[in-house]
Amino acid sequence: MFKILLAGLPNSGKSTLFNLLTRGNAKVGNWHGITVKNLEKTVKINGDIFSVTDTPGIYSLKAYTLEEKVSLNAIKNQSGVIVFLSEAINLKKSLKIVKELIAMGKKVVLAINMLSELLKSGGKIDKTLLQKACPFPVVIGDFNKKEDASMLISAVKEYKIAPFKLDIELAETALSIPIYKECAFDKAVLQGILAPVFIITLLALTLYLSFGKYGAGGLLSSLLSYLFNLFIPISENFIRSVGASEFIVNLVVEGVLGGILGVLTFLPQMATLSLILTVLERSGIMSRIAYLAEAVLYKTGLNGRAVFSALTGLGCSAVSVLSTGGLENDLVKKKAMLLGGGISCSAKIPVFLLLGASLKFPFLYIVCIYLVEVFIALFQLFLADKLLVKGERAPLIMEMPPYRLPSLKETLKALLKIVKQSIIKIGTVIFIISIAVYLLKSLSLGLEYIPNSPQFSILAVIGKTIVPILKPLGLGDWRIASALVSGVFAKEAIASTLIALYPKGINMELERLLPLTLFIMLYPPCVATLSAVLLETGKRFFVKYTLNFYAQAYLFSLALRLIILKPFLLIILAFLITVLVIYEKIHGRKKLKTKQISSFKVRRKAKLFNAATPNSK
Amino acid sequence: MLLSECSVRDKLIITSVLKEDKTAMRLSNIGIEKGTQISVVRALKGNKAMIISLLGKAVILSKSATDVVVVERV
Repeated sequence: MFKILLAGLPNSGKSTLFNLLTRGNAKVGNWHGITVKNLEKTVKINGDIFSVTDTPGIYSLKAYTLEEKVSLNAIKNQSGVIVFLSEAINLKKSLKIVKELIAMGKKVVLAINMLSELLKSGGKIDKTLLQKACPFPVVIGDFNKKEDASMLISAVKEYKIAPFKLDIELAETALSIPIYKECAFDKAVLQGILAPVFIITLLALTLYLSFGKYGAGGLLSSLLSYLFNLFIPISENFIRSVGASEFIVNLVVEGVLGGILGVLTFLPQMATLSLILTVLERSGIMSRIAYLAEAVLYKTGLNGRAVFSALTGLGCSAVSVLSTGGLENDLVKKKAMLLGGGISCSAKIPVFLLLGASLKFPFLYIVCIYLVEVFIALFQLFLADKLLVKGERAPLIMEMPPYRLPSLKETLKALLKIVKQSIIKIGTVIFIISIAVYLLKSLSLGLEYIPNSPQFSILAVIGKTIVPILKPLGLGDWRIASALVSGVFAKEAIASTLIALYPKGINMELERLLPLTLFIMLYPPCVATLSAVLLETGKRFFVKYTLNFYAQAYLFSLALRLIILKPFLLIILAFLITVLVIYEKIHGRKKLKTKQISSFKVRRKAKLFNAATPNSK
Repeated sequence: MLLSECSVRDKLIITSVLKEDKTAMRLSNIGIEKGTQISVVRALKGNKAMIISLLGKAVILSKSATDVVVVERV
């Protein structure tokens, strides 16, 4: 068996190559720090067995972040070949690490990736000279292509002895890198008034394509709904024709099919949103958003990189929590978890679409949800940064990748993965919850079957115990309380429970709908996400994290309810916000003065430093 | 002068990095180190973040990072 370890600088194409070699589905994207854990897979390539390991990116052999430590351990323990991937443009940086690997006695294949990008930008690479400087296999190409990856496999198979030297100076002369030229699109959208226009257009397009009536998600959802409406009566007739009892018919039709198909109807919207996020991740647009977001995020103690956590959170909160592993320090990581968890994941989409269905402008309702929750998450982080949490800030330092057209095949693979995961979740967790909800709402405490009197059911008894807590929010209905309890396990369960408990459709008045929406937006993410938080941070933060979400959901919903009932409270709230803004302005000015003094000190220090080292240039 | 005080299109050479901590290490990882020639491609209002070009690529730096890089105009 051949052992291959894929190592290299961040964003050098390791996971793309891993997917190509193993037919795997590792997460890839056009920015650094996506892979946070080693991935290993054994595959047969042209009759030979290969064990391929993908590792997080490293900048040097001195570990700084957690994922760099993971990589370094894998490198140290690797007995097979290390394929060191380097973006052609970053070759100089990679050569230093390769030299260290050689000094460690490792078998190295240098794989220079993204050659076409280098050539396109006017750069050159002298293969003969490079091979002369590197007495070990050097493969140059684009390793998202099969033929180039095959060259790499041949190089691994033919590997004989570990090299003992590398002439870096000679190798560097083999490469000619062109001067960086900013592309026209960046020139246009990364400055002035066009920057916010770019962000707003992108957001509006994403939301409309996913949730708009005539967007891809909306159209497919209507089609599915039509098909399911045809399917349910056919199934009901079939089950009756087999001679099943009324209880079984209701359990299958109302409980199982109603719950599962009700949530499945919204799968196209969830999938479309995830697909757009995948394209954004892979195209390089995310890095530009991170740059623009720095203008806002620096006020919350986070940096632009947190955008990745927030946007990943739109897809799945648990993945967002796990992706914070690559962030700079514990404080930034925890804040990013709060931001990612505070953004509604795709599992909440069915709930919002269901609640908004009775409104005149359901799309506007969805847009407001996303805007409000981003505002609340940022506001909370801002307050926490100013009043509660003090700690080391991490500056935004990241390479800006060029734009890349995502491969259609890889994007479709990612889409299929998302759809598959959602269907599995709906087919297992939601299936069980749907059955449980149906049984609980159809049986009385004495286990008597009461399908037409759910108000006397076990579920009603459970729901009514929580009602007093929710009553101040205007949510004093056992059906809503029960739906919120089921949502603790999986957010889609809120939708399936509401469908079961409101068989004639949900038609709530605004004063109840709005606090409910806010509560669902802000209360803790699902069990899987909370488990990920516990795993990544420990018990103490897990408890704080969970309580924070319950507290914010309750307090914000209560405030909204009070404003709806007594609109003059809005004036008081506006006054409080104004006071806060004025305080921040005055405080900010004071801070600026202090900074100016310290900047003067820094300049003086720099002058002294340069005077002491006259050859510093 | 500090990198955070520079303007778009300035062509610069890094004379030193003031801190010797994780920030300096991360800056060095992406090529921001003494002697490197850079130029400011783009900056947000108040230089809250900058796009710097070096060695054929672009890097994004926030103000807290550009505050520790000392440069001279070429």
